Amino acid sequence: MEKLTHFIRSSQKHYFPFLLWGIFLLAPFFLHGWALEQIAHHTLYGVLAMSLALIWGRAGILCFGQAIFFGLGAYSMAVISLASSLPYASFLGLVGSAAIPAFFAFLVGLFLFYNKPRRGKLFHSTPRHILSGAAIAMITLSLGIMCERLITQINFLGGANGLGNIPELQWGAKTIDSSKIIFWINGFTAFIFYSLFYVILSKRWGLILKAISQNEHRLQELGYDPSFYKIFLFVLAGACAGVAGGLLATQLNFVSADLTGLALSSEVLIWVAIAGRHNIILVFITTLLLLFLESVLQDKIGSLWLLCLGGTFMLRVLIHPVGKGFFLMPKWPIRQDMATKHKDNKSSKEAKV
Amino acid sequence: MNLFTFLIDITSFSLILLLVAVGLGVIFGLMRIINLAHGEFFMLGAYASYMTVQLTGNLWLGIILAPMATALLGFFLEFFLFRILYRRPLDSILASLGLSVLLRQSVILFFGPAILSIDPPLDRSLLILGDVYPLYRLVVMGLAFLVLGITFFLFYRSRFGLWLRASMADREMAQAMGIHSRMVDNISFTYGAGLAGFSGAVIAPLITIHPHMGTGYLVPSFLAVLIGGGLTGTVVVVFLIGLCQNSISSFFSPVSAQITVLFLAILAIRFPPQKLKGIKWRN
Repeated sequence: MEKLTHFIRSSQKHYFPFLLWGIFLLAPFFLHGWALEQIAHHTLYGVLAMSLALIWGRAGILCFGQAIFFGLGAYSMAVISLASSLPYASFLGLVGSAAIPAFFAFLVGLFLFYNKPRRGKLFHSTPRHILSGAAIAMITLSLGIMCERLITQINFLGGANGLGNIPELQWGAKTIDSSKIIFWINGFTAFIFYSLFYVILSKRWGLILKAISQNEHRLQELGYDPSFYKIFLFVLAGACAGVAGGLLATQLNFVSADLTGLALSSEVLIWVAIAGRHNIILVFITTLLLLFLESVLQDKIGSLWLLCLGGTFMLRVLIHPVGKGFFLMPKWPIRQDMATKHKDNKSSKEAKV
Repeated sequence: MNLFTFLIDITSFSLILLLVAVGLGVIFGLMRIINLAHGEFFMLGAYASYMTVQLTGNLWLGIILAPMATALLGFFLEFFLFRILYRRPLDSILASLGLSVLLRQSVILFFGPAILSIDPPLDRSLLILGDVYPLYRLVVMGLAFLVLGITFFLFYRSRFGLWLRASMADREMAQAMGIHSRMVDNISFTYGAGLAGFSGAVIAPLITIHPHMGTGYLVPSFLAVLIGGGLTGTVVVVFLIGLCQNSISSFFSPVSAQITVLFLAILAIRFPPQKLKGIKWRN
């Protein structure tokens, strides 16, 4: 009997996020019209936020340019589906919108994390070659601004005006334009990425990523190579953000340089920080709530919204250092033995400075 | 365009950049705070001088009042906000990002997102070596030079500067010697905010005023601080950035100049030059 109650309790913890996903994916039966379309778009931004939560929340790498991959995915989709007259243009576009940002993320990851190998040992680095978190933040910040400026200079990508008339997703010869099906495409994309992250994080990898965020040097001394894991994580998050961007391009039928810019990157950062960055499902839900609130309040308060968001974010960082769960909520651990308490966090922070 | 006016262009751009960078560098050196809202002080300075011109029609009054306003804002922000973030670079990036969004949106609420402009007050030009050069640009250069001179005098030839440099070098030791580091922090933050406000107010008639103008000056001055390290290093790097940006923008386009500067900066942060004693980027 005790075993049974234990099992139920632990499974509640395990399956609660999946229950939420089930409810979420049933939304088209309750909602329709404008609200459904809005939530479908917000789902894609939610995927972007989840990808940032993966690298910032789990591995502790503050990436200030997550929108680069999002925008790159959107542009890849736009260019492929506008240029090619192939029958599977939208399928090819989706593949491209995952592959191109992933490749770019690989290059960025290599640039940020790869260290000169020691004699005879590939992928083994000395601790002094690890960039500090602030340096990575500044590099990705500059990279985001650079990408935005660069895209406005390229005529092939529409320059500052952006690219319009992007065809919608197609299945064979049929265009998908039902808002329910679009919602399900977006929802299942989000669900698939969530499950992927869930599987990765609940295995050995999750522990290693946590170790990277807590004390990278010690992990290195134990014989692991953090740079390999970080680069892999960047690639995964880049592909995830890219697919979301590609889907958004087909649904808005328009892309512009704003999608890669600093404004979107910092907004994503704000969503993730307000949600407490650790819990990926919480990040997703918070993003949806914030965006829905924004789209409802847009007409009434206009630019006051972003002001409130910035203020909330600032207070959030000041009052309650990011990364210690939601305001007063306990963290929902992915596996009990991994939910290490942040007791020695303070000392490691001091050591970092 | 002859060589002389080209050099003047570089110098005036670099001096304005240096005014922003000095404030940033002092704040970073003292408190290890990466203040992304520093560009917003610059922007607020420009808006303050715009408002003064609208109300009184006198730009010179704006140039005096704007730094006072931003310095006051800086004082309160340091007192209530940034003191919590000491020695926490990552949290300071995040909190100041929130602050910069907040300031920018409040400016949009008051003035609207549109581009504004001020007419240059001295509507004359000078002939320099056969080339026409607007007088106000030279005045900007002179003013910036003057303020920088005062700043460097304050930092290197005064009692306060001694306290400041001592606190930057070794905070605990300075405190043990009886220096009130908190007060030094507060004054230098206020002074840095005032410098940024001054540079915004002075340059406002020459550029367009809009809520996002801070970023264009924040990023290069940041890079100067991060690469240059100390004050002298910052001066050198600022002039290099000015040279790079001006020469590329006159040969190609302003946007490609910005891209090049950003690219160089990324490389410099990733592979910091050994000779220039930068801040510790590595753990």
